[in-house]
Amino acid sequence: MPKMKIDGVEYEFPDGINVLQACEQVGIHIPHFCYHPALKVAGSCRMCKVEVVQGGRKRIDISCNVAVQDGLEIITDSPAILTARQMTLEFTLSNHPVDCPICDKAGECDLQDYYFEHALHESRISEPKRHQHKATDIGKYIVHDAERCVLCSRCSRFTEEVTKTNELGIFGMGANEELNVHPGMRLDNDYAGNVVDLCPVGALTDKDFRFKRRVWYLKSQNSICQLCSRGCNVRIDYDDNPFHEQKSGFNLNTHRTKPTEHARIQRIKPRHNDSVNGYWICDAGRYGYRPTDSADRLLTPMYRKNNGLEATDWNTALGITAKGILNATGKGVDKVAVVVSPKLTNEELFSIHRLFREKLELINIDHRLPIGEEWYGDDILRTPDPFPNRTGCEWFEMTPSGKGFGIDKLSQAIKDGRINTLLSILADPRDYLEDTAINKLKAKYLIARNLPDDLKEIVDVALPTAAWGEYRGTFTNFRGRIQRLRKAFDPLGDAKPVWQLMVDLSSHLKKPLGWKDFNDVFNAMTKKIQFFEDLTWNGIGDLGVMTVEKSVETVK
Amino acid sequence: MSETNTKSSLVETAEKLKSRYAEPKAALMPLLYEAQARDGYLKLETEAEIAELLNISETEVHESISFYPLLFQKPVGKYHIQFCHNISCSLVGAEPLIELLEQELGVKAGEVTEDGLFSYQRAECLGCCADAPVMLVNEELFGNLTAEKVHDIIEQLRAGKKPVNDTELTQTAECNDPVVSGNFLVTNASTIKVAESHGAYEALKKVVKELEPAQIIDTVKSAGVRGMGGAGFPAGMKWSFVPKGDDQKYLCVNCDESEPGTCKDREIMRRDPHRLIEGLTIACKAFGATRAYVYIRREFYHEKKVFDKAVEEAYEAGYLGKNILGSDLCVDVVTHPGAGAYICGEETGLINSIEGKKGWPRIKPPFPAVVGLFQKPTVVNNVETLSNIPYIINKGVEAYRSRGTEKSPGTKLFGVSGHVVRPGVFELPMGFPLRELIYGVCGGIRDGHALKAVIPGGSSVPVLKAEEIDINLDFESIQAAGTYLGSGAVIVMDNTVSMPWALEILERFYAHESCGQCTPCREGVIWMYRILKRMNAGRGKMEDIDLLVDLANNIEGQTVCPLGAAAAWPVQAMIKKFRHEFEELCK
Ligand SMILES: Cc1cc2nc3c(=O)[nH]c(=O)nc-3n(C[C@H](O)[C@H](O)[C@H](O)COP(=O)(O)O)c2cc1C
Ligand code: SF4
Ligand code: SF4
Ligand code: SF4
Ligand code: FES
Repeated sequence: MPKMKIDGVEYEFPDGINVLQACEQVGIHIPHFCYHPALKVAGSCRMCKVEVVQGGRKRIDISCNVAVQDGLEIITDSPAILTARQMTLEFTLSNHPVDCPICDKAGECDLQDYYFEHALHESRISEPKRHQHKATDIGKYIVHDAERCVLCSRCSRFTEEVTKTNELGIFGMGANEELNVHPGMRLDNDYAGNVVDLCPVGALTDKDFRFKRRVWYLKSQNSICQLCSRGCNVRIDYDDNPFHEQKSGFNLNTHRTKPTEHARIQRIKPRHNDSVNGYWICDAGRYGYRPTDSADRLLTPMYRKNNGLEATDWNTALGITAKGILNATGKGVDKVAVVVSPKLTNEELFSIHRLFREKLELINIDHRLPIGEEWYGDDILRTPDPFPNRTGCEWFEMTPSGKGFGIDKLSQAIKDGRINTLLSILADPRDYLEDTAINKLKAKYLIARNLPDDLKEIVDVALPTAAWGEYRGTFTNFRGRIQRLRKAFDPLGDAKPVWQLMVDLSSHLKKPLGWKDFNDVFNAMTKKIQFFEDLTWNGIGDLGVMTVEKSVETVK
Repeated sequence: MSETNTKSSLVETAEKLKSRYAEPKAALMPLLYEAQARDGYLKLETEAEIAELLNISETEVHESISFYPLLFQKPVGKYHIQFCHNISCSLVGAEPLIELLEQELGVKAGEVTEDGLFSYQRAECLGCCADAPVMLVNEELFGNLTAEKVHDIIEQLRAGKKPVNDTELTQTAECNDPVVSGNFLVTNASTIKVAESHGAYEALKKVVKELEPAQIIDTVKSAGVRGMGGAGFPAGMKWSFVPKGDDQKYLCVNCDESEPGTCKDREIMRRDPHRLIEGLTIACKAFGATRAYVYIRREFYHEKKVFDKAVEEAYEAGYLGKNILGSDLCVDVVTHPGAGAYICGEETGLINSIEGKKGWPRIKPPFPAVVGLFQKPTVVNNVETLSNIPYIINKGVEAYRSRGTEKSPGTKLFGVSGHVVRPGVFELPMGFPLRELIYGVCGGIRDGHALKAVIPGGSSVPVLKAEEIDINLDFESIQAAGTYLGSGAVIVMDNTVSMPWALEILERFYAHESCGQCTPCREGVIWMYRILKRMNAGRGKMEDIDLLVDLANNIEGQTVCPLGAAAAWPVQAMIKKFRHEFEELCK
C-alpha cells in the first residue's frame, strides 16, 4: 500500500492504480479525455497532467501513466499545471466547431465542462478551422461528427480491445487524421451504443436519442436490465414532463395516463459495476426499453364480452379470474396451470409462490418458457438466457410439484382435458402452447404489460401490470447476485405490480395474503429464503449483493 | 499474369516474409509494397486480402495505408517524382525548380499526367541534403539539380530513354585516422572482398575470440561513444540497461535519417555497409540480442540495395547467421523498409512501424530496454553510433579518446548543407570549431554573400546567428551556447535568407510530420505553420509573433515524443534572435 502525497496531504493507496485514479479516490478530479479505466492507457490527450516530485526532482507528467508509488508527491493545481491544462484545451478547441447549441452532448460534455472550469479564453485563432464531415451515419444507432472529435481513441480502443470487431480506426496522419469506420464497414456490433458513452464529446451520438431532449431535462433512476440473466446495471434517463416534448402540438391537458402522448424513457445508460457488467451494456439492453411506453400498453383490466374484450374495473376482472380458478380446483382436482415468466422480480415470484403454491396448493406451475431462436449469448456480457431472474424462479420453486404438468407437457395435458384453465403471467401463451391447446382451454387469464391486438382475440381476462421502470423489486442474476430495480415513475393507467395483483386476487380467492405494501412483501420474502435472512432493501444497495455463488457453468 | 497467379504470389511472399519476424503482422509493410508493385497502388480489396494473410483487421491495414505517405491509395504515374522542398533544398532553389517541373508536366502535386507517364509529390527531406536540390524518380536519386537538368531528365523519360544521372558523389574529407569514414573513398568498399582488405571484420574476430559481453560493454562505456542519432545518449550505458537473462532481445538499427539537413548515415550505408554490419553484430553480442532489424527509410532505395547485398555477403562469409566464426554467437539481420514518415525515426515510432503499425511513438514507461519490439527488451541505435564500434575494438579506448573532449570523445560525421561552397559529409574530431568547418572544410559562404545564420544540429535545434559561430562542435560546448549538436547536420544560411521564410519551411515540415497522436503537437504545430504562412503572405499581425512563442512554449515538453519540442525550438530561437524580421513582416 504505497503512501504518497497529493497536494500536500498524505494518503495511502492500493497498489496497481495510477495517479489519476488515486486523485479521483480522494476527490480530486483530474480533467482527461483519453483515459478510461477499462481500456489500455493511450496517454495522448495530454489533459491529465500533474506535477510529479520524485527523488527530489520535479517534472510534469501525465497522471494516467504514472503508477502510485511510495514517496511520490503529486501537485495538481500549480500555476504550471493550470496553464498546461488551459493550453491543452486551447489546442483541443483550435479546430473544434463549438456547435454546442445543436449538439446532443451539451450539458454532459467533458470538453464543454473543462472549458468553463479551466479555460474561458478569448479565441486566439484566426486561421480558418478544419472542415470535416459532419453527421455521418456510421451504424444502425450511431452518427459521427468528425469536427467535434478530440481524437482520444477511446471508441476505437473499445472496438479493438473489448468487442474485437475493429470497425473504428484513426486514419490519416497528423492534422489531417480522422477517426472513422473502416471505409468498407459499419459500426453494427452488439455493443456499438457504448461508444456514445465513451466519447467525451459529441462526436459520436446516438440516433435513438439525437435531438430528443436536452440532457438537463432528464431525471434518472437506477435499475437493472431485464433482457438477459446477467442483469447489467443501468440507469433509466426519463422525462415525465410533457412540456419538454419537442414535437409540436402536444396537448397541454395531457395527464400521464395514456402511453402514447409522450414516451417517458428517453434513454438507457450503463452503470459501472465491476462485478456484473463493468462499464458496458449491450445494444439489446440499451435499446430494449420501448415496451414501457409503447402504444399497445394494457391500461385497464379487460374481460371477454360479446365476442370482444372490453375494459372493466379491477373488481369485476379479479372476480372473474378468481371464480375461474376456484372452479377448476378443489376436492383433489387441479385443472389450473400457472405459467410465470422469469422476467418477474423476486418479490413478485414470492407472492405467486405464497398464493398459489402455499395457500391454494396448485401443482401445475412452471417458468421454463422456451428461449426464442433470435437470442444468443457471447463472451462479453450477453448470457445465453434472455430472462433476468431464472435464479429467482428456482428459489421460489416455480416448477411443477408432484404430478403437475410442466410447460413442455402442457399442450398435451390440455388436449387430454386434464388442464382447462390457464393463468399466464408476463408470457404470451402462443409462445409455449399449440393453437389447438389454446382453443381447447376453458378459461385463459393473462397478466400483461402490453396487449397486442392479436393477443386480444384469445384471452378471456387481461390484467394490466406495471412495466419496467414503473415498479421496484429485485432480480437474482445468473451468478446469484441480487440487485435492485428502482421505481422511476408511476405505472400507466390501472397497471399494478404483480405482487399487488396477487394481494388483490388473494382476497377474491378468500385466501388473503395480508400485505399492505412492498415492504411487507419484501420482509416476508426475506424470512422465507435462507440466504435472505439479514437482507434489507438498503443493504442491497445500488450494486447488489452476492447470495450464494452459482456455478457459472450451470448457466451457460 | 492471371488474377489467381498474382494472388498466390502475394500468398507466397507473405509466407516468406512472415518467417522474418517474431509476429507475422510485422510483415505488413513489405507485403504492402509487394501489392503496390503488383497493382500500382493499394486497392481496398487488397487490404482485405492482406489482412487475412496476416491475421489482422482490415482497419489496422487501412490505418497504416492512410498514415504512410509512400503507400498509395490511388494510382501514380509510371514515373513517380518526389521533389524535396525542405530547408536544405529550398536554400538552393528547390521552389523555382518545382514550378518548372509543374510546367513541364502540366500537373500539380498529387496529380498524374494524362498519359499516365508522370506524377509528382512534394517530398520532405530526402536525406541527401549535401546534394541539394534533389529529387527521386521512382527509385533513382537525381541531385545537384538545375533547371536544365530537370528539363533534360523529363525530356529523356518522355522519349523512353534512361536519363543521364550526373549527380556528383557527395563530398567527403578524411580526417586523420578516421573512425567511420575510412573507406568512403575506397572504390567498391561496399563489397566484402574490398572491405576485408581494408580491415573489415577484424574487430568482430577479436570480439568473438576474446571478449565476453560484459567486457564489450565496459569497453564501449569507457570509450564514451555518444548516440549519434540526435540525443547523444552514451551507447554503452544504453546497452547495460537491458535486463540480463535468456529472454529474446532485439537491436533496432535506426537508418530512418529524416531530420532535415541530416545525410550522414546514407554515406555509411552506401559506401561502407560492412562497417555497420560489423558494429551491429558486436552490439548484439554485447547485450545478448540475436536479431537486428535495420529500419531503412524507403527513399534510400539505392542504399538499401547496397546494404542488402552486403548483408548477403556477410552471411556467406560467416559474419552473420548461426555460429558466427565458429563461436556460439548467432545474429540475424533483417532490413525493414520505412514509408516516408519522419516520426519513424523516433525510437518507439520505429518499433511500432516494424511491428506493422502506424509509426505512433509509445508513451514511456515502459522503456524499450524493458518492453520494446514485440514486447521484448530492445536497443535502438543510430547507424553512425554502431559504426564507431569496430574502431574502438580494434584500436582501443585510448585511441578513440585521443580526440574530442572528455564528454564527447572521438569523431563525428557532420553533414553540411545550404550556402557553403563545398557542402558534404565530413568526419571531424568532436569539438571541431564551427567556424573552421564552415570557412575551412566547406570553403566558406558562396560567392558574394555573407553568413547570416547556422542551424548546427539538424532542423530542430535552435539557430545560431553569424556572430555566434565561434563555438566547438561537441555536445557540451554547443549546449552551453543554447543549442544542440543533434545529428550533426549543419545548415548554413547566407544573408539572402529571410528567417520567417525559413521558419515557415521548417514548420511546414513538422506540421506535415506530426504523427497526430497527441493534442498539443497535432493541433499546435499546424497552427504555428498556418500563422507563419499567413505572415509570409503579408497578412501577419504584430500579436501573432508573441502568439507563436506562446504556442511553442506550450508545446515544448507537453507531448508524447520529442517531435513537439523539435517543432517548438526553431520558433522560439528564430523569433528570439531575428524578431525584427518578423516585426517587419507584420507592420
Ligand atoms: C522525431 C524524431 C525523429 C528522429 N529521427 C531519427 C533518425 O532519423 N535517425 C536516428 O538515428 N535517430 C532519430 N531520432 C532519435 C531516436 O529516437 C533515437 O534517440 C536514436 O535512434 C537512438 O540511437 P543513438 O542512441 O545511437 O543515437 C529521432 C528522434 C525523434 C524524436
Ligand atoms: S469519436 Fe469521440 S471517442 Fe472517438 S476518438 Fe473522437 S472524441 Fe474520442
Ligand atoms: S447483456 Fe443482458 S443484461 Fe446486459 S444489457 Fe445486454 S441484455 Fe441487458
Ligand atoms: S509529439 Fe507529435 S509526433 Fe510525437 S507523438 Fe505527439 S503528435 Fe506524434
Ligand atoms: S488522460 Fe492522460 S493523457 Fe489523456
